[in-house]
Amino acid sequence: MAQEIRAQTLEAELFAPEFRKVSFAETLLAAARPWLRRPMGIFGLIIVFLAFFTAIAAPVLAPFDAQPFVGASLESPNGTHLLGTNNLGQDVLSRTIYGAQVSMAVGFWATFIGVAGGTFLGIVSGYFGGWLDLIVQRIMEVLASFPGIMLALIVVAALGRPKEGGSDVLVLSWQLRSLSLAISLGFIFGVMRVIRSAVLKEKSLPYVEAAVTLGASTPRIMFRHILPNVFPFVIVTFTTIIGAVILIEAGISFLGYGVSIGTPSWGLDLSNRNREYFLVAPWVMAGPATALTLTVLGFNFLGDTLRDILDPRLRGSR
Amino acid sequence: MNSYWDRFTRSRVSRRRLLAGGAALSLAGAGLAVVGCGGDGGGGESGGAQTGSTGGAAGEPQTGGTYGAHYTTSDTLNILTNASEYAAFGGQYVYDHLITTRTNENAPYVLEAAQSLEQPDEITLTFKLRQGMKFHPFPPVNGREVTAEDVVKTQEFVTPQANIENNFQKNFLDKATAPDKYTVVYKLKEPRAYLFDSRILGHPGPQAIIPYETFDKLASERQVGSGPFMLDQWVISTRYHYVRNPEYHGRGKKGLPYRDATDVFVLTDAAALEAAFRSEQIHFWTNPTAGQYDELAQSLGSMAKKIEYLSLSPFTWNMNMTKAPFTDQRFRQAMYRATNRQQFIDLVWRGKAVKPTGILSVAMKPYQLDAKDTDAYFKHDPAEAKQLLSAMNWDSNKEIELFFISPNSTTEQAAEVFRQQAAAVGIKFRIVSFGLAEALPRTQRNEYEMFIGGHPGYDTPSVPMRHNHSNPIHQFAVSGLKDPEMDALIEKAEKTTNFEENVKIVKQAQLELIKRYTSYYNIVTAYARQFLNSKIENFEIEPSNTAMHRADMWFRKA
Repeated sequence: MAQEIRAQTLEAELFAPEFRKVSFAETLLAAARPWLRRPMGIFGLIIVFLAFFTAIAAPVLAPFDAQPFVGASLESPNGTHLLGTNNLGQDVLSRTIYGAQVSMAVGFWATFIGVAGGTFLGIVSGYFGGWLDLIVQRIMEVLASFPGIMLALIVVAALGRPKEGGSDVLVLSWQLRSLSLAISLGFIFGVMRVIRSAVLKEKSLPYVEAAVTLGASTPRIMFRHILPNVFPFVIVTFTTIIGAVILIEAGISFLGYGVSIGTPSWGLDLSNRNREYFLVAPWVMAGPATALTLTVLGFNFLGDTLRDILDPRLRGSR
Repeated sequence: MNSYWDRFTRSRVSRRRLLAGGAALSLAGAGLAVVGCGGDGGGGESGGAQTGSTGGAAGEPQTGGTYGAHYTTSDTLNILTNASEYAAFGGQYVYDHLITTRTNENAPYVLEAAQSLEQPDEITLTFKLRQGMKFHPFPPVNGREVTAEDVVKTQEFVTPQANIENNFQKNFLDKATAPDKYTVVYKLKEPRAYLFDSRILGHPGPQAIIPYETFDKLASERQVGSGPFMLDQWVISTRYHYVRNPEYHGRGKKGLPYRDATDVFVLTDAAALEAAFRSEQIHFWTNPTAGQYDELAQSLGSMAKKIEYLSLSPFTWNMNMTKAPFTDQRFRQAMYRATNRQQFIDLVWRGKAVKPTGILSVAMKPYQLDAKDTDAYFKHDPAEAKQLLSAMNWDSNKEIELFFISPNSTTEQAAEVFRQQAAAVGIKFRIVSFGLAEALPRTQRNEYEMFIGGHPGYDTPSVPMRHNHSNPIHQFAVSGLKDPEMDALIEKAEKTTNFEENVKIVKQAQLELIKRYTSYYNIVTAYARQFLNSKIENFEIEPSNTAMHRADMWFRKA
């Protein structure tokens, strides 16, 4: 008996794979390699980083407060006002910088709520299947039958327009919660469908069967075993829709149902009172329009790159 | 007769003369005449032609064409409850009225369904109706004749209604009777100064002649009236198509209206309005914003006539006098000190506005106060504002809700300017906006703190002075000063029918109100800015009502 055990140990030692200690630099390089093959992804990452940084550091970065009239009306870009002033004499650059707070706060939280809600429903619906799946799907289809911006407008009307007023991005995030919630509802269905289809595939795999056999509870199987395996989809979905969320926020503010009047917001600054000066003073739109376009572009590039890297079917592609 | 309108009733300017006078004016001249607005008070032909005309010099009127107009909203067809509907839709085209108002203290009205109007004494008005007028040929009325009974029944129907502008019926009118088929007699409770005001006898809503068969269907069914146009097709709050009423009395002139149809579009977006005007879907573009007006005028070239005149609309901020801190005179005074009217003119109106000296529009020239009497009260002094607020231990963290009626980019800018001015002295505003349909019920339910915005064009002191009274009466129920002395003075003016005496009391009341830092602050009188399609002839400009039906306007064909 003892001889048999020794023989098995020897065999294990002989055929065991050889593990080599990998340096941190090598790990970093391995992680960076797919990114280095995708420069647009890096561009997107930089833009996204800058957008969040601008939102958080707005009070430090902005040369002026966003709301006071700090210059003459419709000053063209100059040394004091790098992007000029609007018709009320507000500094366009400062408003653009502060405008990032609303876009990032609503963009992040609306996407977070939409993705979290969609992921939860997708896992539950996909794992249980049957009548629960049927009911969740039909309810979500009803929700999805409303165009996203219409649904958001209805919810904003029902919950009341946000009452924001802070210059801190975290405070602003809380004050804009109703707007974030309203926008997020339009995305839950799409996220849920993606995650559900991934769960349908995952739940038939042996590791789930093994977890069931070992007596793991249903919530444990769903959220400790399946969720980590569908997480790449969650990340990709998050970065893909955040750009759309920012655009919807801008659209709602443009229509006058988003942030309150006067609050620096890219959407609001492209609407109403500024719009009548676009022809005579194009700089009033240059700041918010460029910031909005670049940020959405950045998130889209980042989303595409993450999808390429994290989706096994696309791994290795350029 | 020693009445408010005595000079008019003594030597009345006929409509033909009035328009002929107007015809001599260019549109810009018409604007200037409106600015003059009874300034000399002397009556006569030139003074009588305050309503301008695009002139009849292009020859004989031509028939045909569809005139396009625009407005911001209309959520029901009921012209009694819906301010938009009486101001710019059915109230202007479908329903006829005994008279329509003109901004001219010497020629304050034009006879419409009434062939004549007599005032045997100060509390009696006798209207003789034109004979043979017919309602539109739609059920349930089916083209029956319009009689005096219809006018009387409308007045009786309107009187008990809630939340409509029935001030005349409730407070002025003692009884309306129809002694015969074509005679209507209004007996008033007491003499009244501003009878022919556009919100009293000239009100396009409650003074419309409505067939009694439709009283219970005003909101839901096709409007049936006896006006120059018949409602043909409509999509609520989108588009209204009115076709020519061949049976229209034409104020005694055959062939009116000259045009075949009128379309009114609900348009709010500046780009949509510009597109509609350039494509000739609309022919009269009211109030393009200050920021775009001059550039647009240049680019529209000969396609449009540019019309500018000092508006009759006060642009005000108003406080809700049932709530703190507005009841504290120190707070109101601080707000007066915080308000910088020149900054409003420079930033919002790009210089196209002037500072009023009192409560009323600068265009109401006879009622203007001497600037030296009121300058001290309107003085911009943030330091004094801070002192006043400090004396009342004002909590600078408290937030006041400032609302305006949207969509209106001019008012939106004004609200933001006002917020900054208030912030400079330590008063925080949160700006909110509501559409007209929501805003009016809110003020009636007392659900507001402060308001900022423009008002309709008021052709007499009636409504703007009432805004300072404890009982504002009108649909836009901003609360007044709640001062019994001021209430008495305002009421006295309303009952003083002698024009000169009336002017004196109104001036006195304005000055007293300003001394008390009334809750109704007249920020600016802006220039009204409009574009009119150049093909239109004989177009009447009535500053108290830019949406009149203008049955005798016509299109000049190429």
